[in-house]
Amino acid sequence: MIRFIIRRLIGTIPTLFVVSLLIYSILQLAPGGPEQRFEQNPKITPAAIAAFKHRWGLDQPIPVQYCRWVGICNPDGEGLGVFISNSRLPNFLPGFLGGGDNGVLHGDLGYSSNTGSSVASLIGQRVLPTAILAGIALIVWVSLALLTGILAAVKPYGKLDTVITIFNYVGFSFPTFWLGLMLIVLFAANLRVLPAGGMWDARTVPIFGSPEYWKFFGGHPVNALVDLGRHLILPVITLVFVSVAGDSRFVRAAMIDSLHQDFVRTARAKGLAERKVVFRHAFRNALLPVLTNVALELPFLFGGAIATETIFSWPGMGLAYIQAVRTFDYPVLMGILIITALVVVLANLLADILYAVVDPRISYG
Amino acid sequence: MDSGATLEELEQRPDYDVQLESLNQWQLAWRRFKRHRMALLGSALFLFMVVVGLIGPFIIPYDDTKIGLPDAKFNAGRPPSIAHLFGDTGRLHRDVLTLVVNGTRLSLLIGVLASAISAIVGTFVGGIAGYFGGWLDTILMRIVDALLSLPLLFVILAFSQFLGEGHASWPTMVLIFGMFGWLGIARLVRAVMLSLREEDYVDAARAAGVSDVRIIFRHLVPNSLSPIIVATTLGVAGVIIGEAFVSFLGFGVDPATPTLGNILSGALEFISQGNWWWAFFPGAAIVLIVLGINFMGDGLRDALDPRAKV
Repeated sequence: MIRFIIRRLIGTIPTLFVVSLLIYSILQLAPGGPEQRFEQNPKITPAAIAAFKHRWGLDQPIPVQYCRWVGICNPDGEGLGVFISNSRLPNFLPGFLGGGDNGVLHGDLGYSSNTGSSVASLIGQRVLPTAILAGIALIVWVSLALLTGILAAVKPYGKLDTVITIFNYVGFSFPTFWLGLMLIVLFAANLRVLPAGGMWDARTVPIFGSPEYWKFFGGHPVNALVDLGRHLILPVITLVFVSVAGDSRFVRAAMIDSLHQDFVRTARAKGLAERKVVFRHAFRNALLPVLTNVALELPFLFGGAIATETIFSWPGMGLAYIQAVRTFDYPVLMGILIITALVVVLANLLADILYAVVDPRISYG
Repeated sequence: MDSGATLEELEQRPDYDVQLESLNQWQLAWRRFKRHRMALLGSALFLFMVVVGLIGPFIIPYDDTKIGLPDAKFNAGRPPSIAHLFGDTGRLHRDVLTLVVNGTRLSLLIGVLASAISAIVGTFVGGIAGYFGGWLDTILMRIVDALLSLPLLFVILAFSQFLGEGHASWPTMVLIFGMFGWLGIARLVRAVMLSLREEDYVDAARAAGVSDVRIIFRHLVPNSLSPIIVATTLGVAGVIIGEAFVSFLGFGVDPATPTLGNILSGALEFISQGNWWWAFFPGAAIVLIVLGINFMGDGLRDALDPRAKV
């Protein structure tokens, strides 16, 4: 088992490498670069743009730029010396073994070409809001999918099943961002019961993530949580409503499958209560494919989070990404994309491991 | 069969023709599709939206470029009325119904064309990977796997911004969505190819000296058409939502051209003043189109399944 996990972990390295190469090339396929944000500015001369490009290393050939971004090449090197770090060892080695300190390999995601601050610290600030939103949405989403899926599967083609099915189809066809807009119109603009966006009430609560915020949180935990909760309601509904539909169908199919197995008939035959049969026996077996499916759907959660964060001005990674797209901030884009890909690849790995751990019929030698 | 009946008597029986009728794969599928209530409903919905998009502009009294006089009292737009059934937009006072009708046509066009490109590229890549196998397959599928581990909408957003800077023409959007939409279809076609290429009729064709290209595109692709059709149909819905999202964020088609997403994008500015109609109608159009396509795709999946009973 451990060997399987280690082998799979090593296997993710080439995948991530290919991913990084692909996103780098895709972003380069489009014309222009970070200097494009000066295009509309008449005060910036071609000479200033050339200086900007030189300072950021954008005048180098694209393979060299990529090589520096990954951390195989040393930006201080010349000719073939680019592969050698300042301490005269191969640059890709970790810092303590005499390698360089630049590039993703050394944990350096570069600097925002817009603000000049480090990409890693920017992502660090944005991870928590996204994790809170996505995490709570995930919990609500999975519980709702399980609940509706099981209820639908207990009496397939019954009344409840039909209602849930229709709901799922409609939910599945909703554009996330439109649902968000409609919720804002209803609950924020007309009924005025919930905030239209943001993560905290700026009138009473300090900026999220700042030391003052945590002091406030320590002093008035109930107020802080209520405030956060009020701001979470609409974004979570938006994210969940669309996502729950597909998974609910999936749970239903898995449960129907499971309810037809012999061991379920045995459980019924020995006189177990129907509730026990459904939840103890059938449900446990249906859970496995559902869990794997959820793990595989994480990229969609991220994608949905972009839309949701934009509409509700939720200060997470999605909003940071949109701002980076607006300002042609390539380093931030690359950073967020590669982190997202890492999360997805690890989630896939988790799904595989879950399979191997939970299902004794599968062996991974 | 009743042994006492003569041939003449048999011919008189009402089901005589039906018994002898031989149906090909597509006729059988059509028969199954016709019995799928949700699929018919979905097709009707979809066709309705197509008709709205196509002939709507000739019926509606307004031109989609027409703007109204500024009106300080209704700066956020006027609610629906007899003159403007869907209300009008803020600031420029364009008629929302006119925008929705024109946007529907363009969104549908982008969705259908982009999915068609995806289907062609996906079939080509998947067909080659699945048939030849080996290192070609490994490389192609590694790329597909890698791209599928990205939230593609992120990439599309960045790409359309860098390419069009928020003023892309709609064919550019077709190309962008076509370029990123083929991955799923390639995987699907490859899987089907892997099983089909072991079939006897492929061996027979090869023994007869048929070229690889001809085997792939004359024998294997037609036999894997059903999953491609289903995936492409559902893909149209995905592109329509995706394009609406990209345009909504201001990275897509030029704001002056109405697509369903562009109309929503304008609505965002005034949404906090409670003018629901500007955002409601274009979004509802998206939901109707996508719902129709999803029902239709589901019906197609059942109808094209050769194991299903007629």
